[in-house]
Amino acid sequence: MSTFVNSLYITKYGIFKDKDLFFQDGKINLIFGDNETGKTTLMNLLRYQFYNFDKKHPAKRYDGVECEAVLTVKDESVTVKLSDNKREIIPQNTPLSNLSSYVSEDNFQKIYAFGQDELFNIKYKEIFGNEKNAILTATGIGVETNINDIFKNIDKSINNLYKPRGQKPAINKYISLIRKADKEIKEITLEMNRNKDILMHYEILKDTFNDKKEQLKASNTELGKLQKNMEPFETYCSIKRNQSEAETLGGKKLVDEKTFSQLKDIYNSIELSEHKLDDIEDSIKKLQMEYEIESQEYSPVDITKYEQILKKLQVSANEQDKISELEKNAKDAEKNLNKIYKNLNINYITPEILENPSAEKLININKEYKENNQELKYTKKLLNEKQEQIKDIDSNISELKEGMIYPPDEIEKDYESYKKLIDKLNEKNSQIEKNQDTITRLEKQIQDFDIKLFSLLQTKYPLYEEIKPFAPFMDKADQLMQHKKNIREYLDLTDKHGFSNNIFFTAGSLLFSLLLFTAFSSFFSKSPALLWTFIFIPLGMLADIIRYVSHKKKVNNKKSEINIQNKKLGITLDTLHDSLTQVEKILTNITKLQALEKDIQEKNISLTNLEQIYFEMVEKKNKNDQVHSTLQKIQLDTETLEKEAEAFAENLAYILDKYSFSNEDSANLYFSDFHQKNNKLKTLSFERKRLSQEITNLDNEYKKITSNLNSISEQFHDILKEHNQETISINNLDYLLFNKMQIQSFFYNIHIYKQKCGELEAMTDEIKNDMAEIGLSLNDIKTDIVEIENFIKTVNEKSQILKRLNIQIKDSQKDKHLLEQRINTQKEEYEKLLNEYKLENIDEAEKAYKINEKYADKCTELQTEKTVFKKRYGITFEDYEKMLAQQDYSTLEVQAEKLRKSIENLREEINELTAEKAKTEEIISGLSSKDQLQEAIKHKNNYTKRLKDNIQEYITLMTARTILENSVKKFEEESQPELLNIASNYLCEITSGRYTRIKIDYNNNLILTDNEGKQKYAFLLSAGTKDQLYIALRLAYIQMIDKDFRLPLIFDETIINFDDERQSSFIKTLDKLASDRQIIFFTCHSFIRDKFQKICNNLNVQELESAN
Amino acid sequence: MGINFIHTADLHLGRGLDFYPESSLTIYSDLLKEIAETARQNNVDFILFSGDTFNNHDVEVSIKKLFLDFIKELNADNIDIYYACGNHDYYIPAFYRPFKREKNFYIFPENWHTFYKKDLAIHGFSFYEQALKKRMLSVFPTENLSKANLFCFHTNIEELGSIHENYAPSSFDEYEKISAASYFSLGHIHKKSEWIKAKNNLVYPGSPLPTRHNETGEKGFYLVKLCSNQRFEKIFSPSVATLVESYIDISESEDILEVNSLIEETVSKTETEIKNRYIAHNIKLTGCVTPSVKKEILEHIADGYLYEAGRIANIEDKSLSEISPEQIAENKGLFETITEIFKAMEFEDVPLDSKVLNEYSETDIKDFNSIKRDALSVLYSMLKDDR
Repeated sequence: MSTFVNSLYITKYGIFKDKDLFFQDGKINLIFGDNETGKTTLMNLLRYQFYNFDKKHPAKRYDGVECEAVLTVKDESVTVKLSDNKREIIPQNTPLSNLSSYVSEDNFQKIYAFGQDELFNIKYKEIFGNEKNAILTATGIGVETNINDIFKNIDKSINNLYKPRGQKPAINKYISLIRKADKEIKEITLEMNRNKDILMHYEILKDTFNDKKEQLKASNTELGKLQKNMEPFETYCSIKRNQSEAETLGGKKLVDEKTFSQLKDIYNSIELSEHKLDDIEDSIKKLQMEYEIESQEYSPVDITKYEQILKKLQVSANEQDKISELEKNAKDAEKNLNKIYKNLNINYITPEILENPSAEKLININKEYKENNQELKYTKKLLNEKQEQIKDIDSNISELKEGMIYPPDEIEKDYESYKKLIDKLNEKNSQIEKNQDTITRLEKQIQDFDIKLFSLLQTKYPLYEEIKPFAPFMDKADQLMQHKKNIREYLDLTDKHGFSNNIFFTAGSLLFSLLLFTAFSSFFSKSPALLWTFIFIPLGMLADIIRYVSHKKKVNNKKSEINIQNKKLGITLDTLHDSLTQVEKILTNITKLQALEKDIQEKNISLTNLEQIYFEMVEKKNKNDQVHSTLQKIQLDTETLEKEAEAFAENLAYILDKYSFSNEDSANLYFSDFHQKNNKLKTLSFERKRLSQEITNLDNEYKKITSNLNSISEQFHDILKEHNQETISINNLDYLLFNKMQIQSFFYNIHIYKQKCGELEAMTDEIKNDMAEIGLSLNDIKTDIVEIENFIKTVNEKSQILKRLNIQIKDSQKDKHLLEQRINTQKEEYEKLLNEYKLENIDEAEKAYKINEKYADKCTELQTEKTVFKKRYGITFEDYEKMLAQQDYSTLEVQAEKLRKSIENLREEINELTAEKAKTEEIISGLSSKDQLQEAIKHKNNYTKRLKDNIQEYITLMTARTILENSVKKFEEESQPELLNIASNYLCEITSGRYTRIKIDYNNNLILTDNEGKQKYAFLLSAGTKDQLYIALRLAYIQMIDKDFRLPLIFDETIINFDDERQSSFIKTLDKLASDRQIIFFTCHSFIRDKFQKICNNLNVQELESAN
Repeated sequence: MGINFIHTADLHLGRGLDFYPESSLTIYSDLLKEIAETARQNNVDFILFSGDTFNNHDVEVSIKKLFLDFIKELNADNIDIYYACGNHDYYIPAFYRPFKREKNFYIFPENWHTFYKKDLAIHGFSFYEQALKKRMLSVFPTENLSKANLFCFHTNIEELGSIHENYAPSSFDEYEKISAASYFSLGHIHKKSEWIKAKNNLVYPGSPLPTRHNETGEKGFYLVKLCSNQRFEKIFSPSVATLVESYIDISESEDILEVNSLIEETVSKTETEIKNRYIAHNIKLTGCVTPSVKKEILEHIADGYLYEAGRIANIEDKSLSEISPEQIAENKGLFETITEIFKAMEFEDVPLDSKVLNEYSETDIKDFNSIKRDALSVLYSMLKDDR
């Protein structure tokens, strides 16, 4: 289906008036005319035929346009009338109405119908912008997405983040802020260093203050010391006075209190002792008399023996009490021992066996025996359990194996094969089914196709193709015949009677006459021949002239008639000979067409629908051929699959047969059941194997333990034999050891009782002997004890009385002697003391004593004062005296005064320093209240953090941009749009292979690659090459996009910049294109027209006449 | 009678606490008050500072005054301070002069020194230079060991992985060689950590405040009691400030507003649960989101919008794009090419201005793969308009 212009009749427009133009489809319609012959006007008129007018439509600028065009739009004939600035389409509803939604008027004018000037008036980007996006869309990018917009967006974001210059972008801003913060930190640090001076001053101030304080403290201490030295002086003087008084009293006859009291005591004691001596002498006399009376009543006895016997009797009595208790214990022990013997099934126990080292060995043996025994029991229990489990498993295995006709391994193998076969068979069947579906589907696709008709059309269509242009003349066959006749007649007339023909005739006649004359003259004479020559030539010429003149009018009439007819029939050839040839050609072809029409009429095909039917059939055939080919392939595949399926089915049948399965369901059921059972069997077999192994291990273990137990038992019996112990069962060893302590305590109780009995017997014998010695006999121990005790008591009482009297006498005599000695000593001492103090008697001594008392009081007072002095002043009186001896009191007073003054000065200085310190502290506290540095660092850190985040975004965006840029570049390299590929082919063709490829970068800049592989941007090309490039792009676009309407292509010059070779190439390209769509080419250059005529096979040339 | 003491370290007083809106001085003041108050309430005998108490010697006088007031306040309660200098606050006489005037302030000298408190021997040393390469523990005079021993110093334990040979290095072996059962109150590691080596307790209390935006987790100091059996029992006392790390799954978010709401919710919930006076948040966004949300997150972290959701110190986008490069490539055509280029892309391929490169080298952004993935998401979002 194509769209083309059939004819254009211009009633009036521009320079045209009643202008009738005919165009042909499938041809290049070359409109040739000089400048101002209306080529551009005509092109505009052609453009206007296709689109509706709106108010701003350029056609409205031309007043009074009136024309009528006959178009074929998608094989529908449409008449477009333009008049009174209106456009009328007849019929109304044709595909032409929808054209603007297919190709916009603007695009039509830029791409389909353009002049030389408009060649650059188009932005090539617009041509294929949408197409490029369409390709990208196909690769997943949104329809609205524009790569350039994305680049712009990324760049915008990147620029918002960072620019090499400027302050506004975030990164720039944060870098600047960080610098500011650094500066601030630096300033603060500097200020801090300045503050450090203040702080240093403060430190010095503090040190000075502390030093002064220390000095003050030292001065105060010193002053305190001085004042301390000065303060006791008054007291010192008072003490000194008292000391002098005491010294006066001390110079007199003195008897101290002690001496006086000693004298007084001795004096009184001598008097008292003399009285006592008289009393003692009287007492001695009385005692001596009493002793004599008592000694006459008492005979002396050796009481010691009695006392010894009494002691032994008492011990014996005591032991007897104890032994009855021991006896009871021993009896209990024997009783208990017997019980133990009974339990152990023996008659005795050797005590040594229960003592170390044998006891220790027995404990170890018992421990070992118990452990082994316990282990033995446990192993036995485990063994039983495992054996029970094996029995259960065996029973389960037997149950599971029931119904298995083959060994499980074989069944399993078959099952695996069965599964695989089923899967494969299903797979193959599914594929076969799928293929059969495809075959059915494809078979449905095969359309009814009349092969005979197609063969006929195949034969006839090339002929029709050839003579198709003559179809419009078919109904004018009669006219043409008449016309042909007329032309022939005219030609006959002109041939026979035309001047030139006459001249040729005359010349021929003359030549013939001359030849004839020459022949005759050789026989006769020369003169008659010359005569004949001069007569025949003018006659001949005259005859010609007469004939020419007589037919002249007739010829003219004929010619006029022929011209009119030519016009009607659309024959515009220069000569009538050509016209005749054309008419004859038309007529011949009409005959052929009629014959063809007749041939195809039988098949209900007319010449009008021949082409459509033929192409439809070709298309149908192609499709059918394609389907057939696919069908064939699939059928072949299906056959192979069926063979494979058959082989699988055979194998499957073998398995089903082996197990006598009626069908697959029973096989599935059996195998599924088997699979479950087999899994269980495997698990059980494994379990059984494991259990058997465990049982073997346990059995070995059991034997080992039993052997251990025997060995332990032997050891035990060896120990028993060693100690001559009656055999004890090793099972009772634990009982024996458990009661070991008790047994040992029983043995001990019996032993102790026996020992005590022996001891008591020996003691009783000894007492009997002792008593016999003093004439006593042992009766009852307790009664004997009482009697002997009474006897001893009586003897002792008498003896004590005598002893006491004797002692009293001796003591009194001793006292008398001592008293006498003491009286003598005291008298000596008394005399000695009186002599020592040069005293006469006790009275004089009393006087001296009283003076001494006064002196002592004085001394005590002095001492008290000195003590108080030391307590009060912290220095002894004597030290103070020594100090005063070294340093005069007046000197001390001078020093103290000096110190007082110094202290006063220091206090003043300290007050000043305190004030300055407070002042400095105030300054420092002012400084301390700020933490600018912290805050500045904090700000800096925050900015750094923000900077980091922004850098991260920046690098991410830059990475994204780089990825996109590199990807687009690579993608463009590898996947240039189809448009460019087609355009490249056109350009290569037009430029005769000079340029081989058109590429486009992501900015839509065109790049050309020449035959040497060099690349060049389009804007750097020469004007001609640029024209070729743009035309190539248009042709490519049209080829790609316009597959529906196949609109005509209209060129106004456009190849004027091309060199000779490229012009030819371009025309060749157009010639090829013309078979697909109508081409109308306007030119004013005859050499271009000639080139078209020379190159093109299908050319319809129309010349525009100058208005002049 | 037992001995109670507080062990703290790495206060870095004077370092800008940029993740809290409050002034750093206020926070430091509150921290010292809290330590003092805890000391009073628990009748502690002394406080140990195991180094890096100050961030540097250039700290403002206000910070020094804070510490001086703190010492004086404790002096009134008869609480002593044993102070070991670390690499940040190594000993400079002028710097420590004001503190040394206070009679309850005991600073360890350059070499091992032992102070005695009741029956307890407190051994320690101070940094006198910023770098101390000497292995101090290997030269400890063991004759100074007493019945009960406490060590206080700043050190880096080699086994912890970091190579800090300048920070009085020590190793677990050396601690094991100290025969007496001792408590090692150490400083240098900012994260709370402890080990037992032989009979010895090795304790880093960590910084009581987050001193950097990545220092999340428990922050505080130890309250330690020396029991009559010569064993040390300790309780961790949380401090005034904390930096909470929260992982937020933003998979369900369809736009940045929803992401913001999730951050707000998490911040609010955390602040209800945590009672510290100063809270800042370290947010880590996780999950899978659409490329457009990824793009928005990137933009709004950079322009600070997401930080407005609360007291946020740092937001890290660790979320993944729900469309993988392989899925992007499935779109064929240009997308396939984009994915190929993406995979082969190196950092050097990105044309960056030298100024930006300089700034970039200063940051801790090192993972170009994650940048690349984000870039791909951004690109995909723009090309597909996946909104």
